[in-house]
Amino acid sequence: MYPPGSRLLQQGDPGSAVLALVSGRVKVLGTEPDGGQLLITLRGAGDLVGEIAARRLSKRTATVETIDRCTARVLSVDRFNAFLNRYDGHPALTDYLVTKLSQTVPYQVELVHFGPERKIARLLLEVVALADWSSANPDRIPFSQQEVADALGMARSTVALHLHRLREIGALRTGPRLMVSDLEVLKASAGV
Amino acid sequence: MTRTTTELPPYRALLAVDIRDFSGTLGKDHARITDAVPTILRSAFQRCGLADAWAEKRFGFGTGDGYALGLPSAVLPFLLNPFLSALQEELLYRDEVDADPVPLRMRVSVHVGPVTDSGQGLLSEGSGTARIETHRLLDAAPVRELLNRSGPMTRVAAIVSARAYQDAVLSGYAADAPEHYVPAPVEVKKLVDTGYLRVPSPSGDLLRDGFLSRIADPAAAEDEARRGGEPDQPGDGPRNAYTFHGSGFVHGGTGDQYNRPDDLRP
Repeated sequence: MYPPGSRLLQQGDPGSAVLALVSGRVKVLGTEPDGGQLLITLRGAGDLVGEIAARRLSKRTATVETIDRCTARVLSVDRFNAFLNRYDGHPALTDYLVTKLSQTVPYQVELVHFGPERKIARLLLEVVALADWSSANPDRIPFSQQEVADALGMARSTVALHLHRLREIGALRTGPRLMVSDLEVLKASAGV
Repeated sequence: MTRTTTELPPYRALLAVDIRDFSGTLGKDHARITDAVPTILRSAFQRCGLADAWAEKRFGFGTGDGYALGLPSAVLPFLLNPFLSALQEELLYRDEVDADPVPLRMRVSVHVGPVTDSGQGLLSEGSGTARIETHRLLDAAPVRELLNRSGPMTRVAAIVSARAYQDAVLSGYAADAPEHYVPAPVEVKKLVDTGYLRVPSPSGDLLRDGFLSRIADPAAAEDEARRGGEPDQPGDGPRNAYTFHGSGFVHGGTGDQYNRPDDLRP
């Protein structure tokens, strides 16, 4: 069990274990040479983290931090492989990795061609969709304006402007916290 | 009968998509899925910086379980790269945010040729043999098989006409390695041609056995067996010619280290 904001993995550390997320959401962050951190992707219950380094027994390729209180099972590489062998899980893991590998570019690069409001709406939508049964309030997005700005590589003032607009059109609730009011409006704003 | 020469309609880049197993989804969900298709395409165009191309489309028609559109022919290379990867990513994103009643997977065909274009928004816009061929390609067995033989994470399987392949891929305009395309025989009604298969994120049997089912060709299966079950070696010729060198096949991926299940065993 890990409280919100804990660091599960640190980029550069030796990778010797795989974590299976049972509940809660995490951010996968990449550290830039200048020390800044970029959001790479979000993962939630049912996802693996640390599977890239663990498979090659190399260094951690990213930092992973919890968003919510998380439950995770830690498996040594040997136990993980024994599990895969027993249940013939190698093909499934390959398929999983193929998908997750498309998420190794920073989130903001992935969304680079979308307008600012669409970027924000897409991020919020994904955070909400990743909430699981353990979440006390699944409509709440546990991000500050600054965290949204950091994740998307946008100025905080730009984020504030567009969050205001998302509140105006009824996608988000008014108030200091980020809370979804109408999911369909948020989806339309995200272009899905 | 008097014959009169008439003008050839303009060449258009043609794109058709089809939802896999649409009829297998619940009837109550059909309308929602049908309505989502143009939204998905528009967002996939936007995702890869082609918002203008979508806006400039010459025609676009829903087909119930799919969509067909025509674009200026200059856009053709972009429909292959980066659009196909962007569509794959968009469909994965939609799954992550539970946008659709069921996770959607699409067949895509890409062609180029003369089709009518009056500019008046007629119901007949985009008519011509090339349009028919685009839909025939979409129905071809090899592209259907790609989705049958891949895992659920493969959301897009494309077939490219020989003409589009020559004009956009072999020419270098699509900046996509010709080896990423596997030639396959196409026979649908009167159309007999070679189609070129392209899957932005292959998985399942596509990784193990290549893009063409070996069962379909006993000679090739024997050939594989003789080589000790080692498919996907470079230089195998057109059958299983798909090789995984380079990072191009997974958009944004880091290399070729995840391509074969054997690699997973330490």
